[in-house]
Amino acid sequence: MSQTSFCPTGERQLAAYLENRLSPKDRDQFREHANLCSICREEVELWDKLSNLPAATPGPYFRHDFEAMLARETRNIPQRQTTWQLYAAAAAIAIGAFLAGTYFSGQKPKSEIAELREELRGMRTMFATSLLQQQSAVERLRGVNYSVRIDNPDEEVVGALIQTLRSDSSVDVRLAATDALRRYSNRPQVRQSMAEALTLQDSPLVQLALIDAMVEFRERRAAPAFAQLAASQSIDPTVKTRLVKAIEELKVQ
Amino acid sequence: MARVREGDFTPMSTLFDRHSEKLFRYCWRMNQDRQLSEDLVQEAFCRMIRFKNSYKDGHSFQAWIYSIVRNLQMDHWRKKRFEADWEEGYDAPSPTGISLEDKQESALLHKALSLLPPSKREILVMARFEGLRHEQIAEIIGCETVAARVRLHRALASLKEIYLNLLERKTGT
Repeated sequence: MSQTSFCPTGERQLAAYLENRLSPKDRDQFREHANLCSICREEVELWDKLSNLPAATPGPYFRHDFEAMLARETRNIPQRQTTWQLYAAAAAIAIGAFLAGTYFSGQKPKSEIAELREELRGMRTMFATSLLQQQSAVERLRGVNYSVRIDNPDEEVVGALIQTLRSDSSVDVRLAATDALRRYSNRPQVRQSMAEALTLQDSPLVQLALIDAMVEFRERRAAPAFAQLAASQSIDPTVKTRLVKAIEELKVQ
Repeated sequence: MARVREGDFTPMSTLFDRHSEKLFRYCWRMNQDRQLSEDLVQEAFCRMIRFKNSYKDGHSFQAWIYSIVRNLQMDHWRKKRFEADWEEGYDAPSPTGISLEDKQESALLHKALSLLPPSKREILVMARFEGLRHEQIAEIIGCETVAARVRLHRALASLKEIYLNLLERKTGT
């Protein structure tokens, strides 16, 4: 091949030639042209050479990750509708109670709203924590999903989520708990507990989710846990690769 | 997709089997990072579910999913504010069953491809490796078919220039 510049015929016809779009007559003409034009000939040769380039293939958990994602997404869709309906009902009751209260008794509306809010929050907290203790993994998953709908949840809910992440028997539930806890990354206790939970996990999926979370939070305190896990004999190769990269990422952050 | 839009997610597995590896290869050719490519494809399928109503009947499904994954790739780059660091992320598998000379040529070509600007690389990847037709490429990148052809040709010409430079440097001629 030689150094090249530009060929107007190539600009007009080469891409169409490569896609087999030229008429038989134009195709023959272009071939004749390419025999004489080194610019076009080299470009056609290079196009052919590209087909020899190897391609990567996805890792062994690619399909599994998809199925987990699909399960989460499709489970969330009806739940969102149910939750929305619940919220609508709760809002209607709250507004009704507020209006009735202010109309009939003339009490201070602001304190009533605050009381109602607190009451609702307490009920949600109780509901979420009790769901997290259910036998059924589906119910516990509902509990995790429900917990993220509580504004600024108290230590009880966050503690229950951390406990779920540490010891729940279902990978799906632990993954959902990881996602839920990410929302509270501004709380040092949450970040520390997630870093500690990493060494307790046996599922590569949960390990990867936690590693990603630690890197996202720039949680340098996770580095010892990363190193400990990376040194383990039984660690999954994909997780090990991610850990090595994550250790470097934490260093540069 | 019509069934998915109506809330029946059973076909998603078939769609994944049919398209995920192609999308993965596209991402990998663009970013050279296996894990990132897997994540982007997972996220693309997640978005297919969440934004299922944005797919219009009669339009190319392939173009739609490539647009999703392409946007994710661009978002990722924007977020990271860097062009992929090719040396660091380089995890190209070795071609098997070919001579050492061919392997070296292949590595050089791979390097040349990685040095192309993303806007040129993506069009070459779509046309050469993914076999997308020019009309589909035009739909994905948002231009006329004729413009897509011209861009493809220019991308190939740029690749050749880079490749020849690398070859020259290597042979010292």
